[in-house]
Amino acid sequence: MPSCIQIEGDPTKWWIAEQFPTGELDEGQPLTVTSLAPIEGILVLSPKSATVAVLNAPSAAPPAPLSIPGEIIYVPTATGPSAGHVGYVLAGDVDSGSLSSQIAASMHSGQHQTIALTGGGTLVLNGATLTFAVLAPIAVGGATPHG
Amino acid sequence: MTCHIQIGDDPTIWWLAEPIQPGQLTQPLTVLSWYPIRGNLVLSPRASYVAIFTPPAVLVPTPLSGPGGLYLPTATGPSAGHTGYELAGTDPDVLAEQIQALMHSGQNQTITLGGAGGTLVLNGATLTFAVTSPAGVGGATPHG
Repeated sequence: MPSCIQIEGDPTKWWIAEQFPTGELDEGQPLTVTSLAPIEGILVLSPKSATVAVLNAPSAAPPAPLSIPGEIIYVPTATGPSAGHVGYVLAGDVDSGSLSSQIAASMHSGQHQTIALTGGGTLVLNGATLTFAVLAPIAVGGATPHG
Repeated sequence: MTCHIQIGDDPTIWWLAEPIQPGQLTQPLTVLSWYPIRGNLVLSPRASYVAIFTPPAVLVPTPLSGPGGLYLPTATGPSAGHTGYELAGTDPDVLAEQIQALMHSGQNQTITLGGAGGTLVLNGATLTFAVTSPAGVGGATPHG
């Protein structure tokens, strides 16, 4: 049964494929869950997030996910994702299959992680303060999200 | 060669005078910003993320002009007429040094505001970045 979550500072209500494992937030470990909308992908949630609201999902089906221009990473913004603004496009040589576990490890250790972006850009994540990230499509984050 | 960066929740794309490397982000860092505010950008290693881009080789746009002051992160970024807090005669270079030290120590600092007056309290432990600028910026534009 899907659920919805809203995470500190970002207004987005994320549709989660399964019942959100609220109890695991207390264990101090990053959580990895499958997001259905507004971006269909893998959501990695830091245990350091100040607030996580877990909401009952409406009985209706989740909205259609936003289209993405390739392999992307969305990180929190003040406005949330929208059509044409779904995050940063990853460089082609990023080891996308293991990215979610790398980000979870960064959140766990509190270290910085550098990710190559398309066009020669670089995204530097601070695992100590990043509250969440969403990787899409699903294959980017790895096949088996888990809590 | 300039560099574009975007810092955490603030949507602004900052044009910097020089490129920065990911390895520099482990300590507070002060860099010269050309646009949209020309001044000193002080960046904390506590920012949740920083995106760094190489911009196209085009002229840097004319920066916003204003009374000079201190820009702090917002959800919308700076705009004409909204470039931050006006300072009460504080030297922007000195203030940038103080903010960098503040980010090192994680302590608070109180700043007296100009204009209508007031006080601003900065928390060095959580502030992600700040831009200090002199009055009347918006002159000749260097190019990237």
